[in-house]
Amino acid sequence: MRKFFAAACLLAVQVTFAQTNISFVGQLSYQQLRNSNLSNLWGYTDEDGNEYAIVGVNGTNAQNPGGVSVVSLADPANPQEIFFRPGPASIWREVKVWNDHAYITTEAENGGLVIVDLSPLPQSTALNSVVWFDPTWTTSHSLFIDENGLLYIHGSGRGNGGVIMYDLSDPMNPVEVGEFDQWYCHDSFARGDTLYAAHIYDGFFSIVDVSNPAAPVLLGTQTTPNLFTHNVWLDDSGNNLYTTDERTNSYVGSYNISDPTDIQFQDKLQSDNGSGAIPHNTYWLNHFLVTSYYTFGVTIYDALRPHNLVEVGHYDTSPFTGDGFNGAWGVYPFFDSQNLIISDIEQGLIVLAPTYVRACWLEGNVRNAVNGFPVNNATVSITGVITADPTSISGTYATGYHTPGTYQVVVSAPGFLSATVEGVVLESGEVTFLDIDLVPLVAFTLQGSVVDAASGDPVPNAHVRLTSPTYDYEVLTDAQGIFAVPGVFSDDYNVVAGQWGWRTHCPVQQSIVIGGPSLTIELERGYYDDFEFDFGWAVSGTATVGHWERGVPVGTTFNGVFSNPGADVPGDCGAQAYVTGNGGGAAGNDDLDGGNTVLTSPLFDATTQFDPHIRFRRWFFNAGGSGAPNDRMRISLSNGITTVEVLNITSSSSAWVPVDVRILDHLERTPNMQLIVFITDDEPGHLVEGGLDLFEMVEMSPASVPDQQAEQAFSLWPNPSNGQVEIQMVSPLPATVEVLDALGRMVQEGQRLMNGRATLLLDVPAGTYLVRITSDAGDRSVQRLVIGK
Amino acid sequence: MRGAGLPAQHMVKVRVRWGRVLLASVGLLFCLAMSVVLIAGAAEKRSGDGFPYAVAAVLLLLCASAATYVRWQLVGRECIRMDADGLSYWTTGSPWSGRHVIKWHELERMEQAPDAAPMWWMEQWGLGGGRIVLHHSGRRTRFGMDLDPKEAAELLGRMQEEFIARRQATD
Repeated sequence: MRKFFAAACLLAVQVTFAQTNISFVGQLSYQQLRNSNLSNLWGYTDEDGNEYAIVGVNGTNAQNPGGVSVVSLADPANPQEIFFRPGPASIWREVKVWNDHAYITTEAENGGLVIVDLSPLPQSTALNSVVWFDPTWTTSHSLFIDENGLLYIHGSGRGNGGVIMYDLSDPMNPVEVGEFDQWYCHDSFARGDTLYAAHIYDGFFSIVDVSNPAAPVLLGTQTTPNLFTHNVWLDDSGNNLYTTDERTNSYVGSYNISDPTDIQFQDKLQSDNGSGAIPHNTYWLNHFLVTSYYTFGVTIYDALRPHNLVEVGHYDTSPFTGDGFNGAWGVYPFFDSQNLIISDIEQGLIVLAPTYVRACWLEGNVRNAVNGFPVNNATVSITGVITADPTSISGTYATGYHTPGTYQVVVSAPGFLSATVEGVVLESGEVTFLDIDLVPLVAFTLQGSVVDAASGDPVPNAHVRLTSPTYDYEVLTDAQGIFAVPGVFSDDYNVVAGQWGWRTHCPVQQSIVIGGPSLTIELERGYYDDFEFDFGWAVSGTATVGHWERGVPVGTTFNGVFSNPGADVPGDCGAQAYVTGNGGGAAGNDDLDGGNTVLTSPLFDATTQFDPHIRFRRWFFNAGGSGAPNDRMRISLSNGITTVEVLNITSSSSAWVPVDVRILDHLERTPNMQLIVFITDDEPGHLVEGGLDLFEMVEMSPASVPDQQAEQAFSLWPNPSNGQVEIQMVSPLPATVEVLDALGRMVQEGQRLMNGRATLLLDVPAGTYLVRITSDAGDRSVQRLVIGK
Repeated sequence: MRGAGLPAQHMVKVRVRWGRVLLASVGLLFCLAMSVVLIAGAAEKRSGDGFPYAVAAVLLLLCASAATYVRWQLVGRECIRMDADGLSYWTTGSPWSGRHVIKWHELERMEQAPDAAPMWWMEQWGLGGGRIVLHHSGRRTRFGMDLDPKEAAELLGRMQEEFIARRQATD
């Protein structure tokens, strides 16, 4: 029953995963079989054509050892382990096969080189295996074996950890024949008398003449896109080399290496753009690149045109997303059956059936329609398809898609009118050439002014920003509140303006065209900051990293929840907030460390209001580290004379929490008020992240309650009343109702609403009162109530 | 547009942050004075203790760093040059020039992107930052850490013109 349930779960998981031109065949869960994750794998075919997977098993302890697992794929839908050689636990095992022997490297202490004799298969599963040791090293990272039986060991503990070459004439007793140890080598490919080595820490690959292994000769080197060259693989022609960089958001690269002294970059391609997914190992097979892509699973790129790689197949083996070393570690695509076997770190051995389809290529030039010059950095996108390619400085582009059809192609470039080409036919295995001329736009100077909404007075030094998908301009107004934005192109812009002491004018999209009217933007007085602009908040403190910074929050996660917020508070003018450290990556990379950081607001004048409240949203996340989290966020108010702490937050939450602070509860109002947000990482260290957004000062005196706004949240009647008042919320939420007098004093406290309704029985003198409803989520609504007796 | 074959060079002056210059200058003078006092005191006492000299050495290193930062702020420039070999860029007024050359055939495209400003004290070492992104050999290099968007757009336009002129000359 348990097996049936597990199989049903596996099937359900597989059905939900994304796939293109690759289908699921079978799976062997090593979590169930050996309570273990996996590392790399390779394939083997016996003399009868039976296929096997040779799988590196991590292991965890003596009860669940690591080792090498040999799996029969006679029924690929139901893979069966037929042999297991235990070894020390390690997250690194790399496998290659030469003739009838499998060779396995590991970084486990004293792991040596495991050699498994596969020749008894299929008659017997009693396989002979040994751990072979070179006296000069005990661990190594990976290996490659060329067609001549030359074994290349990478990343051993000897010297720089370069390449050591062994002759496998006696398969169980390798004999060293040479070494290339100029740089650490992570992986390599070799054919004939040439070695192609990936130097991960140096960020490049090298091409080395190893015709005499005892005296290798360096022929050339080339950096790779993300400077972390993880693996390389050569095509059959020997002219094109493909690479991966094991970095977040990195690429599979394509290089023409026909002249090793003048290596030419040809193209690079990234799957699941911007998600952070990491390509791991890529292999060339019949003009396709099959790549294990960690959390994104497995991809197939068409590499028939090495300058225009196009993704034509994908299967997501992993429930994980984004960056992180989870999911597909290795893939083996070289079986005659064409089945792919994948070692997914957590999901186990997965067997997939690919359908190799040729890409539909789209290539051409983008030119200036007036002078015929090439247009650099124009974006060419196929509508409805998540693919876009920028033009080169020569105006050329090369893109494509896996599915033939008739598409719309849109080309846009800064300073040019976008062009749309309808009815572009893309066919499988065909190149569609499409040259496009873009009409240049005329730049002009946009003028306007920012004025006070009530008085019409100019607002000097106000920030004005115009943004469109293509353009972004920001200027300040002069002393007369006038601004001029030079070099503007006609487009639909979001216009936003703000200044400290006025409420930011939120984006309103409007068409701005040459010869159009000048802009007049009205700002209402008030203190408001959603951090769309830099109004001069000051940052200080002793922390070594993770100080407050303004920006679009880059989310980091810890145990499945956001540590640094993934976004600012929704509903404000922009996407920015203040957060502590915003470098992204792992949760601990850029959180607050080694001290405190303090964010201090510009001065604000609280004497302009009778009963001012400060409202904002704060974020405080505190977890991980050693022992119970012990850090805190302290929020203080200063009136220029006295500073008082109004909040001391020690409980962690992964959410923006609304805060309302009544100034008169803490301090006398002055023109020199400041909000101070202090956050500290005390010893011992833990994850600490803070945030602040949507700051505003609001009047809560009855004399200035905006009834119209309040009526949208709840109704009260009769009004005027003799003391008995019915209240009905528009949207019934868990909430509390309070009544305040004209001086802001509480006359009725905390009555709960039932199903959004309440009846107030007020025994108070005649006069004007304030009815305030506060939802449990912290949202407040107020209305004026008149009591007549 | 310039004539092809003649080298074209653009220089971007560092925007001076006077507050930081003042801070670094005060720090420089303080460290210098302290190190002189330490060395003079230790020499006068003829002490065999190396600690004062070690502290003085650290202070002198801080002096050197502050001095190079002040120099970078006052006279520093980012330079980019286009000639027959390709596009080269370097800094002047910094501790080292960090000269790099991108050959023409290696240059894929250029674009303006939001400035990825480095930490302020890293600027002088030419590490990161800049609004102009040069794509070459599958990699990205940034230039123009003190350019505003309008200046960056103008410089990109000029560089594009230079590139086209050179390409036409070699076609």
